[in-house]
Amino acid sequence: MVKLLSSDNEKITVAQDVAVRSMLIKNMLEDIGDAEDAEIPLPNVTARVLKKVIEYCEHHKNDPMPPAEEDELGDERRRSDDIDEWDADYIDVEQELLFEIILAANYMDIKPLLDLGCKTVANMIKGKTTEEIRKTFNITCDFTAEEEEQIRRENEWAEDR
Amino acid sequence: MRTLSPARPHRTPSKSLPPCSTPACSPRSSASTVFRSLSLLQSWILTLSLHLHRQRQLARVNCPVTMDFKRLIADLSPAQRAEVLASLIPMMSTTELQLARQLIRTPSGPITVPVAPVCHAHATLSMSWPGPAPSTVPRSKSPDCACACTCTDGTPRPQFRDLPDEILLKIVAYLRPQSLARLARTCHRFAVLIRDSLLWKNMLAKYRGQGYAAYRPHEDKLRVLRSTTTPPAPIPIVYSPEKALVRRDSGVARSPTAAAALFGTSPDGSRNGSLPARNGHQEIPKSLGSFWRDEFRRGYLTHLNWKRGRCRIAKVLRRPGSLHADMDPDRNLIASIDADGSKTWDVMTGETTTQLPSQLGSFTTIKFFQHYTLTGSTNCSVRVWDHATGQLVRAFTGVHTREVSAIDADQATVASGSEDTVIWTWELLSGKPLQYFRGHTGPICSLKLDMARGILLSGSADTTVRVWDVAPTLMAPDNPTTPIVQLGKCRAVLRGHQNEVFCVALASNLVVSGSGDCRIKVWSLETKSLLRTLEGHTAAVIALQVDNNKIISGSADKTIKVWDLHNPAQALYSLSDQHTSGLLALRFNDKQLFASDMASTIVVYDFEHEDDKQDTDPRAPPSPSSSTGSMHFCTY
Repeated sequence: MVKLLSSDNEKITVAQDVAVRSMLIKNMLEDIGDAEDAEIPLPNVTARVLKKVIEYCEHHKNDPMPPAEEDELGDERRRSDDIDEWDADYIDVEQELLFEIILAANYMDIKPLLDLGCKTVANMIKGKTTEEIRKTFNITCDFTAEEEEQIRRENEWAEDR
Repeated sequence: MRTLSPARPHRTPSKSLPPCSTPACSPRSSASTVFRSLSLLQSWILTLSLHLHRQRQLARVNCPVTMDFKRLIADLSPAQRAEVLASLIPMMSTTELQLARQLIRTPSGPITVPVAPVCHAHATLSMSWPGPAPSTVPRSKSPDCACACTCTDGTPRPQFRDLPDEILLKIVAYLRPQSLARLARTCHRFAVLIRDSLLWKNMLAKYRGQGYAAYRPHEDKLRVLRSTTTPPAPIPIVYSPEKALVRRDSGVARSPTAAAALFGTSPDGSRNGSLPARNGHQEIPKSLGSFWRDEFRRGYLTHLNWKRGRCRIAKVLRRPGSLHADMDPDRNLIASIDADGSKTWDVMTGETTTQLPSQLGSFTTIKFFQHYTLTGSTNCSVRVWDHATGQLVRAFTGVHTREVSAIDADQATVASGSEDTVIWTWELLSGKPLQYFRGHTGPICSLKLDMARGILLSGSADTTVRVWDVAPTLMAPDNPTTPIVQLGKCRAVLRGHQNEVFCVALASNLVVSGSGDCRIKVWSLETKSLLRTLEGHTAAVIALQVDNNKIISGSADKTIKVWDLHNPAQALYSLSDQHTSGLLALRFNDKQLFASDMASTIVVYDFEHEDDKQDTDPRAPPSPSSSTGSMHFCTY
């Protein structure tokens, strides 16, 4: 068992095979040696998010480990419509929690969960107009009029279908 | 039980500031700031291992992680020590930092202890180092909070804008160009982010990986790029207080905001996060940054032109009396058969490049292959000519008993089929026969050789397509330079056409055939079964070419049709108004389609996106000066 300490000082105990889905924890356990009695502080992750992340790790604990050194952005088969049912259900959360999960997955280095989060956000962007994207993600337009025009001209080619 | 001290994610607020109301931000008692060597060291090791772990991930640096902090940092260069220190800063008090400095022994110059205290949330977010710190600009200021953040409930919930660039780039990598463009138009940060050169380079690779030939980058431009850009420096990190942390790997610069946040040097507090273009820091050379996006844009628009049938007629040529049997769009070459032999000539200049004499029998078929021209003739021979000099390299005679009707070549092997129904393969340069294939009951009309997969396809007047196994060459035991002639095995007979199979083509695992029955059939190479039949032509299908996405067919009905290879309910579009006679041959590359008809007309259809025409001149590489814009956003 591995003891994790969340940023709000909650102690959460998880099985080792679940905890090592996080490369951060895995590497830390390797670095500090005797993992049995160590308590791993995760000052970036609140207990609420940590529990949610552990839920994912628990469900995926028997998955094959993703290759460690992968040219992530170079993956040519990158697609966002291949989310399985459990994952889709799992990630169907309010926006803030989704971003918290993404940040936690990034910090804890859980690549499949980070990918799942990123795919979900990408799917939220797809098919929306600029104004709809702004509204969905609460983005404030900070362009000057000239900049907006320039950016529009710079990107108008992609509207050609 | 041994307990590791957590890496404390906050610093002691200076005395001049009022205390933070949040427990997480409260200043620690003086007792707690006393250097507790063991626990602090442990927390550093933890932080360092975290840091090195991330560094390994990002820069693929293999640093040994040991328990010995001192030994660890002894292995680091001064720049790397400064980096480690920078990553420790948000977690340490001033006293601890001084001690850390002594331990790490950095040149004290560039590192300054930030004045502004950082609260729990900020410090922890910026710990996801060395990615740019996401939440460095406070959204709103609590009047009684010293740490300048929304501490009302202790933990501000992250918004979309709080995601660091590295994650946003992962997200946008899933998007299509249209969504990317729309996202770029939402705000400044995305406009800058979506200029990322690696993003577009990967987009190009992704689309090309799906088989879209149009997304082939300009080789000549790439050459210019390679010669003008220096390879990535072995030390990936540049450190200075002004420019903060700039990471360079393979042309990608990290946003400097991570350290800018650490040191409170963010130039523009009113704007969020990463605005490298704003603070005058040029992350990537403009020519390199726009290069991949321009290449992608060109490919994307060219690809759409192919899909929609938007093209220009670049050239229409008539050379009466000749059959223009093969064309090479990459070299603008045409191979024609006429009464007194054969010529190859340049379609743009009209100049004859080589003249091939035809003393013995007239040519029946001609094919460009590498720098050779292969001809088949009525006197049962196949000849290999050097394209540049017009010299005869090799003649292949004595096996075909009737005129040669089809030729194909791949790697170092040539396949030739004859009206005598037999196909032969032979070595290109030695002219030695390798295999013969017997089984068709009519003249061979078309051949497709794929040596990598060991497959030969043949279409015959007996209405079938046959798939043959091409066996590895065996040498005679008594003479190692002479191959043993083997009988080829027929792997499958594809039956379904009702007339001669005039043309066959191969695309990944699909066999495509065109026939005198006006139909095109698509077969599975694995199951050898018919997948679909494309109907639309009203006369024999004479010529075919496929790539991974489309089929282009030329028919005796005077039209060219373009079909979606994977979803061919009906043709995407037809090109017909230029031809007054049935099509004879067609060839396309990623931007042009060459087609010739029985009336000796050659038409060059140009699908390349038009406003890039001036850029395609290899003599005019993109110069750095021409691509530098005067505004924040460079003009492309």
